[in-house]
This record gives sequence, structure tokens and C-alpha cells, in this order.
Amino acid sequence: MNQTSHSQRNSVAALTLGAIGVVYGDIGTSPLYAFREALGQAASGGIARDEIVGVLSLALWALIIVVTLKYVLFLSRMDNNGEGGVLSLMALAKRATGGRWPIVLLLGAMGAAMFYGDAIITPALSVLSAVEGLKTIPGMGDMSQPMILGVTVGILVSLFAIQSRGTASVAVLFGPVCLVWFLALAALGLWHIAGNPEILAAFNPLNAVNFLTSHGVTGLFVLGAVFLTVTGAEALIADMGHFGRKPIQLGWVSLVWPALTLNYLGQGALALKALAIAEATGNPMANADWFFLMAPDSLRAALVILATLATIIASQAVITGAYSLSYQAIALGLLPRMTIRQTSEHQIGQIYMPGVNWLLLAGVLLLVFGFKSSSAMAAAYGIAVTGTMVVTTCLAFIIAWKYWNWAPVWTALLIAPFLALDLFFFGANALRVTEGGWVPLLVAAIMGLVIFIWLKGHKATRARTSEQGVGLGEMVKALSARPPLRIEGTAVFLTQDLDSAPSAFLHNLKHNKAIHRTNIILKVENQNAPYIAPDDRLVLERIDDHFLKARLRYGYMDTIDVPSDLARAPGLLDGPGGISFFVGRSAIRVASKPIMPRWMTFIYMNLHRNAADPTAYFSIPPNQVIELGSQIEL
Amino acid sequence: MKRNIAPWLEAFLAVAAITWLTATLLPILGLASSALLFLLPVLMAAVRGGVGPGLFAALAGAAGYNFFLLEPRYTFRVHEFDNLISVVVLVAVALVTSRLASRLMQREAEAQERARLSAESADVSNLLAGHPSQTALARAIDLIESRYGRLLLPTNGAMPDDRAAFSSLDLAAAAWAAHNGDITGHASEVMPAADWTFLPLAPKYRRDGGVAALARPMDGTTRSSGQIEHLRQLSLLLGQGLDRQELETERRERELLEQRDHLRRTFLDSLAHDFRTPLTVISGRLSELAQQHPDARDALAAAQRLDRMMNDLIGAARIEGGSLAPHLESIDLIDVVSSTCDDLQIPAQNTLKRNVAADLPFVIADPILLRHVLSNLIDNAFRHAENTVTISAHGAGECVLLEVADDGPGVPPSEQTRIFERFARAEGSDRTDGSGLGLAIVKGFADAMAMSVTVENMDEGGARFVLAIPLAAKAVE
Repeated sequence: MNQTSHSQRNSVAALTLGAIGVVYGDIGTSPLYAFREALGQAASGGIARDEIVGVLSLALWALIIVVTLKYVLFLSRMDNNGEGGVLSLMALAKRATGGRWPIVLLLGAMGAAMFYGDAIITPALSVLSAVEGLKTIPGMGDMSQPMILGVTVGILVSLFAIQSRGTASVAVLFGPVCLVWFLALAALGLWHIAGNPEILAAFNPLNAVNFLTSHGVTGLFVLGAVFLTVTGAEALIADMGHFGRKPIQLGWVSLVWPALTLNYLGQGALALKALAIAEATGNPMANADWFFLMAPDSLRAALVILATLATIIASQAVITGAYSLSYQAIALGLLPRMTIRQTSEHQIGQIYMPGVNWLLLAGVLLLVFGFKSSSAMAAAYGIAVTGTMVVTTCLAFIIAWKYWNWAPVWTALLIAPFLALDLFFFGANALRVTEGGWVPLLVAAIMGLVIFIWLKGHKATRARTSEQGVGLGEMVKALSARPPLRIEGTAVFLTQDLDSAPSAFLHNLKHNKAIHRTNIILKVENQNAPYIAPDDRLVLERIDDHFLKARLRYGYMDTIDVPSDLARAPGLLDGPGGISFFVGRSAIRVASKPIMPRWMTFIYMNLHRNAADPTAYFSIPPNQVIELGSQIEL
Repeated sequence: MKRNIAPWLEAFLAVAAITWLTATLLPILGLASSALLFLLPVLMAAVRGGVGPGLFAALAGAAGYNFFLLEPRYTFRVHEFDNLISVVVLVAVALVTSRLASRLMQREAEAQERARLSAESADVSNLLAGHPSQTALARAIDLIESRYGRLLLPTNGAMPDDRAAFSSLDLAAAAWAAHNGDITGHASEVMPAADWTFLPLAPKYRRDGGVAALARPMDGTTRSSGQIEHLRQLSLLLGQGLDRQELETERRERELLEQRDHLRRTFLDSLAHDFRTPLTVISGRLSELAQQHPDARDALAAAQRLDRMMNDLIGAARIEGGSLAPHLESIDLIDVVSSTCDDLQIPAQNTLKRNVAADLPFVIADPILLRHVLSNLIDNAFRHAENTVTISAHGAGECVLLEVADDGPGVPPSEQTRIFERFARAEGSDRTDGSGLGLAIVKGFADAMAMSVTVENMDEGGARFVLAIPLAAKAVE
């Protein structure tokens, strides 16, 4: 008894340490640039004391309201069998609404699309801002921009290059390094607060309100920059499936939140001190890299290295998140199949997707060379993140209403402040669209278009196939009346529609003039739940002695292994004669009367042709597959 | 998760020692040589502890170099950009060195692992080469089981028999492995969710190979692909062992069969001889008796039939025993036919037609054996005839064809080759009696005398046995 509770406590501690290394990397590296950017926005006409305290107050309360209240206390309870994240919420909302609300799919697709915008900015911005810290090292102030960009690009390229080899072996170090990072944040903060305790006044929300009311439009710009403090909050729910709710909440409340708060306060205290010096000398005070200046000269190099490590870990978390999101998006049918590789023989779920990886790297490099400095890039950052947050909040409303069955009025009353805040932030960030905010919007628009075309094309293809198909029941009846030659063995036909005879089956019958002793018409379905227990996946329906309909249901996080899951049914695959898998491969052609606009059909054709081999996705060994081609006109 | 901290501690101590040394001797050594000296602990740590301690030594060395040696000393501050470069270079060189050193170690470990694996393969081969193959196989399986866990081999058929140990997933994986020759199940690409790994016992091109089943490790880990490949080699060796065992079993069975056959022949031989003597006495006395008492004729006929059967048995025993040495001489066929027919007991309702010309050339044969052959053929013909049996002979080139025809049902085509085998009896012929040896003896004696005997169905019904008897040398001239 004693021992179990002890080991439980141990595992919670281990999970919390793991979560600190993965979940909080993004939000934990915000101090590198968030306060500096916010103060920079406020500092158009020199910085005053009220502005420092006001900006700081905004940052602290953003952390309290957005992260602690909304994410840690409220949204983390909203999980799809333990899984969080925008697509999990979408799947849950689909389940709750019976899949009939197009708005749910639209929100999910928007959230996913914006996540990709987020996923290219986070590595670029955080690594660049850490490397810029090199300039604050005494004696290195004259480091040129190309050099900083070179180091940044070097780090980023090597980070993306090692993804294919898997990161499981170094992931053990993430937790401890981040722990050191947060302790350093807290220590630096405490040290400066001790020198200037009056900064604690920032806890008073009146300072924030006063600042906003007195600054007008500038206030909104500042708010957009303050929002940088909460970027990465989405990861708190996205990674819930890996670590569980408790460790994530515990990590936030006990370590990350205090460390961030102390550090921002410390940065404010340092700024106040700088202000006092500036006032004493009569010079206007300039904005600076407050974060790195917090460290004494002799430790600055170490802090730059630590910050670089922390940003690399944060980028790693975002890259892994992008794989995971793509995997779920493929399973939920939002994106075409892409090549997925397992990077670890021992750990299931360590995946690598070459396509996603190289596209992300290309985007990241474009950003680094396009914006050249973290300040410029910060303008682009907020909009994707606030967009995702708006989507999350809307989905949360639907789930609370339809899935938790809360009264719509009370739900609206609870959600409204959060949504208002999100929209407020979104509006504040939208002001900076021209400064660079269009980049993530463009990425999101491209991804959104891809998702839209894929969904539409897929639907059109299915409609065409079922139009042309022969009913399976009639087919089986006709075959049992005049049976063709039967050969020993089992044939599995993959299809999307269990009611019509698969084209691969018809082709096989036409050309080989024989059918197998056992024919399994198989449909692989993805459910709106993250996992389905292996024993519940297969649903069999016997048509006659030789024909079976099989339905394999997978959760969107499950590893798909069709042979294994078929084989679990007793006596299905252990007969003599071997198993062959038949797959129909359809080539898309443009019909004379197209269903979709022509350009969309062309894009869909390309997506369809370049989609990864379905057999690999289903874990069917390539030497057991017979592909039979057919044509579909759209 | 316990780690050996000794290499880390050693790395730290080595770095500390080098730092102390260089810090005290800096004026003598100079900065450049001092920097080079920091590579020593890195190398040592990487070689002894791998990448982790190597990296640790590199970073600690860089820190120590920066703090104690680089101007300004006793701070982490870096004054000139060049100095930072030298720190970076130190780290880079340290990283590369530690990578190289640890890769060398890895290579060595791999080579050792390969050596271990091939030694293991050799052990298994040696065990399998032992005698008898059954215990050799059991020993080899024991060796593999002691290192890799439970292993099941098929004793009969393609799959291990212990079906209760397998789930349906395992069975499907096993069927797949048996059919395709792939490795399936746990730690393979096909149905990795299974609890057993199925390894083909024969190379892929052989379709008849069985599969061995290997349980997944008890500790729940996944076998590495290297280990699976090695196990595949071992299972191929086991497959050879199984083949050898099968061959040995087959050979033993054949030996056993031969022994049994020999015993049977000896038995037949002695049986024939021991029956012969009393039977001769009986039929002699009975023929005397029959001349006086017609009532004894059935007994005589029975005795004669028994005598003929005895003759057949002895003939068969002689053919089998290889002791048949025919005394070939020139004879006139008509003499043989007449003397054979005279001795025959023709069944009541049947007639025997003789159609043998008197001017046939002489043939070469053993008269006693030929008589036996002919009487067996006639006997057989009467057994199947409705009414008439015809004996005819005519010359044909280098031989004389002696034909014995009946008007019975004929021989079904499927029986025509089998009919000369021992104990072969035409279907539906149970009503007729006979030893089942008659035609076999015909064939055996004919072969011994270099004659050929064939059977055919006549167009008008009934079977015809044709004996081709070679002409005597004088007649050929």
C-alpha cells in the first residue's frame, strides 16, 4: 500500500519532469522577447514608470487569466478520452454533435491550419532571440547580423536534420535542462526584485486598466505584444495525452507560473532601475534586451547557452507537435496520407514525417531570412496563436453545451469573457498584419485550402465511385448462383464503401476469372475517439460462406496495423493458402463536366497522386499487395 | 533508471586535474598548448564512458579553460571575439573527438557482438551435427531456449503443434510465415502485435518449410531487428537439423522394412519346404487310393491343388530369394504344352482348345519352369473363363508367341500392370480361389528365362496372356 502510493508519487514526479521538458518549452522561452517587445511598442515617446508597471501588469494578468484560468483550470478538463489539442476537441465536438455541424469541421480545419503557421514561427523566433543574446555578452557587442543569422540557421538546420534519426535518446535530457532553465528564470527574477521591490505593484490590475485606457491605439499594439507572454499555452492541452492532466497542472502551478512571474517582475525591476539611471543622467531611456541584461556579465555567456538549449527544446516540442497534429489530421481525413516513419524500435509513437519536416524547415528558413530579427518576427507571431485560441474557445463552447449538456445561456456566460479576451487579443494582433502578421495567415490560408480541397475532392471521389459501383449483395448472390473457379486462400479487399463491390474485386474476377475461398471486404474507419482497444476494433458481418464484410475501427491516435487486427478474429487468417491484399488505385482525370472547379481538381489530382501508399499506412507488407488500377473522372 | 556515474566522476576529476595543471603551469605551457591539453580528459571520458561523459568533459573543459585560463581570468567573461571562437573550437573538437572515440568503441562492440553471434551459430551447428539427430536437435533447442526464451518447433507438419499456446493472431502470423517464408509476429514487420515470433525453418524458395515459434521476451521488451536476423539464421540451422532428423527416421524405417521383408521370405521358404514333404506323401497315397475308390477323387483334386499352391509358394520364395537359376535348353513347345495339359484337371463345364502347330521351331527355355508358367496361365484362365480356354502358338520373327486366352470378363485397363504383382487379384474375383501368387510366378519365371509376358483384352471379349519365347539358336540359323 505504502509502496504503491510511493511509486505513484514517483511516476507523477517523473511525468511532471517530462512535461516540463516538452509542454512548457514554448511558453517558457517567451521571457526572451515578450517584455522587450511589449515595452518597445509602448516606448514610442520614451518610457515612463507607469508604462513599465502597466505593461508588466498586463503580462502578469494575461498569464493569470489566459493560461491559469482558461487553459489550466478550464480547458484542460475538456479532453477526448484523455487527449487534448485542437483536433481532439474537434473530434469530441463532432462526436457530441453527431457530426452534422459543418462549423465544427471548419473550426478544426482552421485551428490545424493556424497551428502550422505557429509551428514555423516558434522555432525561428525563439532560437533567433536566444542567439541574439550573444550580442549582450561583453566584448561581443559588435557581432554582425549575418553572423547571428548564420548561427541561428546552423542550429535550426541541424535540429531539423536530426529529426529523421529520432530524438528519443536525447529527450531524457529535456526535462532536467528545462528545470534548470526555469530555476534560472526564477533566480534572476528574485535577484532583481530584491533590488527594486516597488515593481510588485504590477500585481495590481488597476495598473493594467489605467495603461490601456490612457494609451488608446498604442495600448492595443502593446496588448498584441503582451500576448507573446502566453504563446505556447495551447501546448498545455495539446500534450495532455502524453503526460496526463495532473502533471501538467502541477508543473504549471508549482514551477512554471511562479518562475515566469518572478522573471517578468525581475525584468520590470531592471527596467525601473535603468529608468532611474537614465533620469539621473538626463538621457531618454532606451529599450534593451532586458532578459539577458538581468544576468551579471560573467554569467551572461552561460545564460545565452542555457537560453539556446531551452529554445532548441521548445522548437523540438513544436516540431513533434506538428508531426502529431499531421498524424491526427491524416487519420481524421483532413490531409492526404503522408509518409510516416517510426524512429524507435522500442517506443511506439515516436514518429518522423519527412514531408512535414522539410516543409517546416523551408518555412522557418524563409522567416529567418525574411525578418532577420526577433523583434520584426514578433509582429508576425501573435496572430496565428490568437487565431488558434479563438478556435479552441469556440470548440470549448460547443463541447460544454452539447457534450457536457450545460445550459446554453450559462455556457455562453462562462465562455463569453474568454472569447472576448481572445477576440480582443486577436484584434490587437490583427493591427500588425501588415508588419508581418500576414505570413502565418498566408501559411494558414494555404493549409486551409489544402484541407478544404482534400475534403471536397475526397467526397466527390466517393460519390463517383458509389455511382459506378455494383451492389455487393447482388454480386455475391450472382456469384453463388454461378460460382466461378475457387482458389485456396484468403483475399482482403480494401474499400471505402462496404455496400458496393470493390473495383479491385471486379477487376480481379474479370482478369483472373477466379475468386478466393474466403473474401473479406474491408473498410478501415477512423473514429472520433483517440484510441480504440484492439479487441473492439474489428466488426465482422458474414454474407455467405465465402464473403465477409469487415469494419476496422481505429482511433485517430492509434497505430494502424491491418493484418494484426484482422488476425485477432479467431480462424479468419490462419487458414491455408495465404493472404493477399487487394487495393484499388484510382487515377483521377478531369471529367468533361467537372464536379469541382477545374483548378481545384488539378490540386486534388496532385495531392491524390502524391499521397503516400495506403498499404504502408495500413502496415500491409508490400510483397502481399496486389494493386489494381482504375480511373475516376471528377 | 540507475546510471553508472563513475565515468562522469572520472571525467570531472580529469578535467579538474588538467585545469589545475594548466593553471599553475600557464606561463610555461602557453595558452595554445594548454588548450590542447584539455582534449585529454575528453578523449579519456569518451573512450571509457561514451558520448555522455565525453560531452560533459568537453563542456566542463571549455568552462574550466574559459574561467581559469582565458583573459580575464577567474570570470566567465569573454573579452575578445577570438577567445569565444577558441572556446567554440574547443567544444567542436571535443565533440568530434568524443564522437569518433565513441564510434570506435561502438564498432568494437559491434564486432564483438558479431563474433559472439557467429560463435553462437557455430555452437548450434556443432550441436546439430551430433548423433543421434534427435538428441542433437533437442540440445540445440535447449541452447537457444536458454538464451532467447521459449522455442517451439513443429514435429509434424508446418506449424508447431501446441496450438493452445497461440492466440488467433499468433496462428494467423504462423500461417503467414509458413505460406510466405517471411518472419512474422513479434518484432517483425508483419503482425508485430503477436506474442510470438515465427521464423521460417527453410529458405524462402522452398515451399515446404515449417516455422519455429519463439516467445517474446519475458520482460516485455521488443527484440531488436539484429537479433531477429540472427535468430533467423539459427532457425535455418534448426531447419537443417530437422531435415536431417527426418532423413534419419526415413532411413531407419526403410531398414526396418527390409529386415521384416527378409524375415518373411525366410519364413515362406521354410514353410514351403516343410509342407512339401508330407504333401507329396498325401497326394501319392491319395492317387493310389483314387484308382480303387472313385470317392477319393475330390480329396486327390484338393491335394493336387494344394500341391500346385505349394509349388507356387516355393516358386515365389525362389524368385524372392534370388536362387532361381534356370537350366535353359532347346525344347519343342508342343511337348511342353501336351504334358502340361495332360496333367490338368479341367473343370467340368469348361473346355480347353489346343491350337498349337506341330511344326513350330524349337525354343530355348527351362522345361520345368516353362511348364509351371504355362500351367499357372491355364489355371488362371480357367478361373476367369465362362466356357472355353484356348491355347495357341505361332512364330513371330525371333520368338514364338504362346497365347492363353479365355472368354471371361477380361482385365480392366487399370489392373493390367498390377496383375503381375504378388497377391493382386482382379476386382470381383473373390469367388474364384487362388493363391494370388500364380501370375507373379509367371512373371518371375518368365523374366528369369528372358521371356516377356503381357496381357491384353481381346476385341471379342476375354483376356489374352501372351508369352514371347525366344527361338533356340539352331532354329535361328
